[in-house]
Amino acid sequence: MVFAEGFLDRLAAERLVLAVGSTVEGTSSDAGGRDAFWRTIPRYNAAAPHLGLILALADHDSRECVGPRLKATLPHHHANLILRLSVPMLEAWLLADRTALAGFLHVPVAALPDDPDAVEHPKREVVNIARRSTRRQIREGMAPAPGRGGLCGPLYTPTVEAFIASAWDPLRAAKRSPSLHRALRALRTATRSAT
Amino acid sequence: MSQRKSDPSRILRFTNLKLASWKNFKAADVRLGERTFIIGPNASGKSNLLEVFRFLHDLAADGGGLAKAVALREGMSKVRSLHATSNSAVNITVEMLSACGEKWTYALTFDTLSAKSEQVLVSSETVLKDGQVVLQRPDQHDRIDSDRLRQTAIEQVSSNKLFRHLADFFRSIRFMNAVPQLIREGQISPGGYPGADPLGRDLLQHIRAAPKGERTRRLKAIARVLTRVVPDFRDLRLEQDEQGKPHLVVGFAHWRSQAARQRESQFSDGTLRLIAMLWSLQEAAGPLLLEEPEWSLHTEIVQRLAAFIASMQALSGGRQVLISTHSDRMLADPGIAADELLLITPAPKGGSMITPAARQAIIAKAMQQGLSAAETALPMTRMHTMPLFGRPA
Ligand SMILES: Nc1ncnc2c1ncn2[C@@H]1O[C@H](COP(=O)(O)OP(=O)(O)O)[C@@H](O)[C@H]1O
Ligand SMILES: [Mg+2]
Repeated sequence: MVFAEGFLDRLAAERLVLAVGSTVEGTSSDAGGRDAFWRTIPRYNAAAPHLGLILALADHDSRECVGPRLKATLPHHHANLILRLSVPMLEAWLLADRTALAGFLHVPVAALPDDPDAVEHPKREVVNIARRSTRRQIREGMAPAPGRGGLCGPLYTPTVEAFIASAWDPLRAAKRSPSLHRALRALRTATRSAT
Repeated sequence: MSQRKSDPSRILRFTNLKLASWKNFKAADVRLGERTFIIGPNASGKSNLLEVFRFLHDLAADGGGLAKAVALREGMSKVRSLHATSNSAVNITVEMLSACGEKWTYALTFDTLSAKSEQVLVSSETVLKDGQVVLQRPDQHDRIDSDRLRQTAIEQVSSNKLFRHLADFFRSIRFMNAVPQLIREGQISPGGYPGADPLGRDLLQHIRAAPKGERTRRLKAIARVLTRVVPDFRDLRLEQDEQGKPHLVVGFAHWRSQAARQRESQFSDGTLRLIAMLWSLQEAAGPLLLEEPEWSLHTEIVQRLAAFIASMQALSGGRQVLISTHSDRMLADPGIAADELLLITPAPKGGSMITPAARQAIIAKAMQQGLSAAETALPMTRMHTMPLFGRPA
């Protein structure tokens, strides 16, 4: 079972499950936002003994420390609930598959950061990298027009969705992103002991 | 007549709307872009705002006009805001920009002759082109013959020569709230010309009426969308039955598990509504009004809807779209920008007011950080006290 903070997190979480050689059983859903995720996660935790493995994925979000929040939200964490946080957000995990993302966005590989977990705002970074694309469609879809008052362009979500579905390799990305590496390791361990 | 060819350099879009005493809005003044999301809770006035554009359409429609447009809305007592100071006149002012950069303004104020009368009269009507007066009523003719004030210049083909394309533009506004059952029943253009029916009864006829190359291209674009949200979807075509009735036919890849081909009679409500919407969005036509497009659609589709709209718009060359919604799932898309959002919130002295999200410093900042409209703007519309708002940016 998969439960994620947002739409793209859910698609990525599904890919993680496949990457460790398992399959998504049961539902795959997302909360549609940060607050909703943290509001709902205790219910998944409570149901975890009856539901089997649940991969829950959210952004770590460096703007706040998650330790206390985790303790407060989930004082008793059930082993079936594999709660992983991308550091600082999903886009860091996407940036970590450098060659694939560069190819997909039609930018030079050198345009991508070496250490994605350290990038302050990976989503903004992805958008800024896309601005350098040789494809107009990608530039205009991924980045907002000047003065629009937003971070992403109108086709950010479907473009990233297509990347996750068709080009992103979590195993390759894990070599560059420690938080993804840890997430995959936890997921692998859990699926092994579950069978 | 409604199919009159217009000079492409004169193709217009709305850039600004001002209202006074319209329905539950005492006043409003908002900018409009290519795509606008009108968000607010139930009964806040989302439909009332779209209604302004439908009113402009009815003003210029064949067989329409001021008296008719007001009558269709059950008279002045329903059109005029109950929250305005007693019996203040209704004003609608729209600014438009043409593809070649001409700025046009149309301003209409209307009222009843007296508090008891139902006779609607033009109080003033103005057309400006790049700030220059093209029409200013009442004029000397109106003073000689006050009966003339029963009609707007927009609805009089003889008097609007200098700004006839404004009337054409108003007439090209389309409202859409397709009802799946009515699409299935099908009917030949109840509105008199293809695509005129907001309920979608003429959708299949309308698709058939499109030139073949254009039709194929649009159905292919819809197919690309359906591939992503309908499992096993393979292709979408228009076919005719023995009686010559058009049908949409979908082919599926795994024919063993279900019928290999389905007609629109078997499509789900959501799929049909989605197809109707995606078709209209691709037309290079006047502003399209979408009323709660999320209705009856799967979460999987709703989450992608804002981007579907943007990509279909791009194919149409930028058809202007106004969308009323209270779907947190659609608004969770980070591709929605602050300046595309109009928030409908309770006004301090009753009724509602329209606040552009971009003018709310908190929302603009949060969205700049990558938070979505669902996380920032939508909760604002649920608040009932204005002091909770940040100061305008
Ligand atoms: N002339 C008017 N003056 C004041 N309020 C009005 C007027 N006409 C309609 N309303 C109010 O507008 C509200 C309905 O708005 P509507 O646009 O249908 O809401 P929404 O589409 O957001 O659900 C109702 O509360 C109704 O009382
Ligand atoms: Mg409504």
